[in-house]
Amino acid sequence: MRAHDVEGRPGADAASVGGAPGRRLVVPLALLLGVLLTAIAVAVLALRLQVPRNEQTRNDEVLGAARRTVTDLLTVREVGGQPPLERLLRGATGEFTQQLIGQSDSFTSAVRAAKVSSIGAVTEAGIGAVDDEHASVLVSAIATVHNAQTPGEQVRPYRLTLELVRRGPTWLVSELEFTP
Amino acid sequence: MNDSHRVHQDTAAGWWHRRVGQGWLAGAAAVPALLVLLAALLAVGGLLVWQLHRASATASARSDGLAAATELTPRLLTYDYRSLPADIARAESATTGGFTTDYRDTVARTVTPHAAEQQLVTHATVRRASVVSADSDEVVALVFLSQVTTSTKLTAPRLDNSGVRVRLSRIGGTWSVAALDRV
Repeated sequence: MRAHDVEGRPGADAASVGGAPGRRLVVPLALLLGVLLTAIAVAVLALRLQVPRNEQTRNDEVLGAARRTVTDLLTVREVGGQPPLERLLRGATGEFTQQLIGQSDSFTSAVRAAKVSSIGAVTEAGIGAVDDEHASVLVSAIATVHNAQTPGEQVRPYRLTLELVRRGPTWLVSELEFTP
Repeated sequence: MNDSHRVHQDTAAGWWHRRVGQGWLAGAAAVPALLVLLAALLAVGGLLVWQLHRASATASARSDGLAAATELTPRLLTYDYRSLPADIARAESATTGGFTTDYRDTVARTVTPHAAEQQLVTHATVRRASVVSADSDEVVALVFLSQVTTSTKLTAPRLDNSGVRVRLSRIGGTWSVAALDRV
């Protein structure tokens, strides 16, 4: 009786129509299952890959904040005669903020008197330890100093150790020490 | 029309048969399309697995490389005129590539000629160390050193503090110094 049905349907295969409707679906269904399982696995892998990627971004931000702070700290322009204090303060917190505020008045007047200008540059910076809330960073830097009394320029090397903390989306310097 | 076919159309199995059995999934395009999709997903998955593997290797390289920088860097700047050949050999064993030759040449030029006559002794220690960048086989470290030197040319031991950038390469499982620069 099935043969009657088959005759009227173009392209139908007598062995695959009716009876076991799923037989010709075995391969496509198996493939569909494979696709779905693989898609899930890919999604899981992609999520796991976010962890090292986020860490890399975090490390770059930590080093960027440390470098900016040290460059600003060692840069004193004769015009105006004070370091980019506002920017330094924005990137600071805790003990380092106190150090900056405490130093700025005496530093500024000494700088104005000597007519010193200094350009700071970081030569290298590395992360000692880091997690999502804290970081320790080493920075080596130079300050190229011009002095009204002395002709020419002097290049002085500095080594600094910084502690940073994360406040919201930003990394702030909480401690800074000139290391011998 | 036979009865079994009419029954198919009226039941859930019939609904399934109509939707899926005669739908796209049963068509000629389904298997090749799904194969292509599966292959593409497997390729993406393979890439992600490789990237995860690299990320994990990089993470362990950070700590291993930093430990190697702390251990090996002082070796390059520590020697005693009484044991100079052994000290230099020990230092060289911590180096790799072109740097081995550079180091050997520098020492031969600046240290060896005067060491015995000046009774030169110098000892370096790492005060602090950090990672500038890391890859699964290469780490760049920033190391703060203290070096104490005594010689007949000095009236008292001389203390030098410095920062050095050290590039380390891992070859065959062993970390060695590939470059060293004062910064």
